[in-house]
Amino acid sequence: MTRPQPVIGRDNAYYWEGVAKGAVLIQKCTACGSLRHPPSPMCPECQSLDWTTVKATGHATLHSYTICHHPLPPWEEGPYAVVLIDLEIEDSDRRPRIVCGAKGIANEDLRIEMPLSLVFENGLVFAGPAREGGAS
Amino acid sequence: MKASLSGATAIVGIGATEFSKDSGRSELQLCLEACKAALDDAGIAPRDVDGLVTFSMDSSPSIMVGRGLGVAELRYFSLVDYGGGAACATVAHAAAAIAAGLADVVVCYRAFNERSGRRFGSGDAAIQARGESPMAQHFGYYSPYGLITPAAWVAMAARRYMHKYGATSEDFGRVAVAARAHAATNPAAWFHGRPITLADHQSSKLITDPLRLLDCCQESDGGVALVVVSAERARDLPGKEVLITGAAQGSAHDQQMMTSYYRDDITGLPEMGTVARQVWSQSGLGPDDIQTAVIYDHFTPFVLTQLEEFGFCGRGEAPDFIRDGAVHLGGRLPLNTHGGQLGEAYIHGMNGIAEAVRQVRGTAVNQVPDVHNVLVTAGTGVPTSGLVLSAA
Ligand SMILES: [Zn+2]
Repeated sequence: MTRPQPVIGRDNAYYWEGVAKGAVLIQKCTACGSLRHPPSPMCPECQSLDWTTVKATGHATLHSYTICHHPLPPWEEGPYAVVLIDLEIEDSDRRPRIVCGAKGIANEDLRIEMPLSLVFENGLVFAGPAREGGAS
Repeated sequence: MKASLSGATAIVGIGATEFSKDSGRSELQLCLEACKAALDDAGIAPRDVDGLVTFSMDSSPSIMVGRGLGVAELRYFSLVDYGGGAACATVAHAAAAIAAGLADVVVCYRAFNERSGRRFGSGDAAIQARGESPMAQHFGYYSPYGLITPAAWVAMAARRYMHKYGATSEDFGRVAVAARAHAATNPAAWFHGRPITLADHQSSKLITDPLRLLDCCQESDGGVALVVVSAERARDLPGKEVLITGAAQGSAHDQQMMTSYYRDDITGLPEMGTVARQVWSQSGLGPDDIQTAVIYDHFTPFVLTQLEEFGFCGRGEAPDFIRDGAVHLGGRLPLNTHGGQLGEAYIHGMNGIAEAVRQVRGTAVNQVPDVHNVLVTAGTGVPTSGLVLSAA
């Protein structure tokens, strides 16, 4: 069994297409400017169906994490981390969250609130050690 | 809130199969056995059933259950969504239907071979989610990264709870120790005669950090059914009345299926807060009026969170609330006196409702003295439900 691929539909294609090109895009309501993730066709703040996207800067902080030991999926070689991260968005004080994998950080070094940078690989996004100047 | 539902209906029958790891028979058969046992317990003939309610996840269609039971006609049949969050909601739907005159005798059921058949803990359901459906896309945000099991979905929130409130793995472990102590003296429990210590919990293997094996409920085969009728009809039946004084469902702001990670604060369960406000309002009761509770325990951390949502203690205070045995028999609030899903069996919360009925009747093996009101909750991390059951 290989690693599952993203499930892509009309409502969320922008997200996975962005990740495949090396950017995390967050939905932004054109009418009221609020940000939302995961994707949804309608703005929960003002019910507008009009939206655009903003690109995460690549800086993030660790909101939470788990280290999965069992069951170990066949595509993993040992205990692996899954992280929940707060994304920095330019010119916004909002910090939308995404779930992703971790890359280049030992499981035991994960600390909530630690700075991270986004890393893109094989159509997926991962959190790696913080770098200067963002990830993209 | 107008309390029209409170006390209008009663649970008059409970029934169950044995709880095992390999039932050796079909889920439909388990279901029918549990339903027949519940009707026998109620003293109601199967042909008199006119309503059936189960989980959307359940494999036994109401028409096949009705056929097996030989019901004359079904007037009400309903499926409740969102996994174990449906447990108490089956009773809420039954109560609402009866109060509205849509049915007279409603059986709520859940039966599965969750251990010998499809195991929820395998992660297969999340991995295999495909297609254009919103729920498949939902699981697809997590499955490529291996966040595929219920334990892992809960662990993510539990880790943040530990960070925010300084809770420890031992705080989670005390929930499991209490459950296993109660299971140890319950002959129906899988872990009958097998209590654990906090040291056992701490040395059990990591499943998905911070959750250890003994933080996780069992996987079980079995079935449970409950019979609901009007309070008026209940008075004419032989058994002791167990009134439904609170029954509610809840889903909250930015609700997700097991991954409500996008709220400002992920250390609460606001959907259970929605349930709590309703059942307290409907019943006119509060935490001090509850003598024992059945708190859904698929994973220990969310037992703590639920105690906070229902106001048994403040935010982040549940570790202190349970530290000195408060949730054991003889404590301030004995929890899950049947052993819970950690100790008795994982029947998606329905076995906990049966235990609450026994506590009100005064027939539980681990009976709490002078029980007037019992709180029961359903699955957490998902849209959920709850009940308050009371003596007449
Ligand atoms: Zn808007």
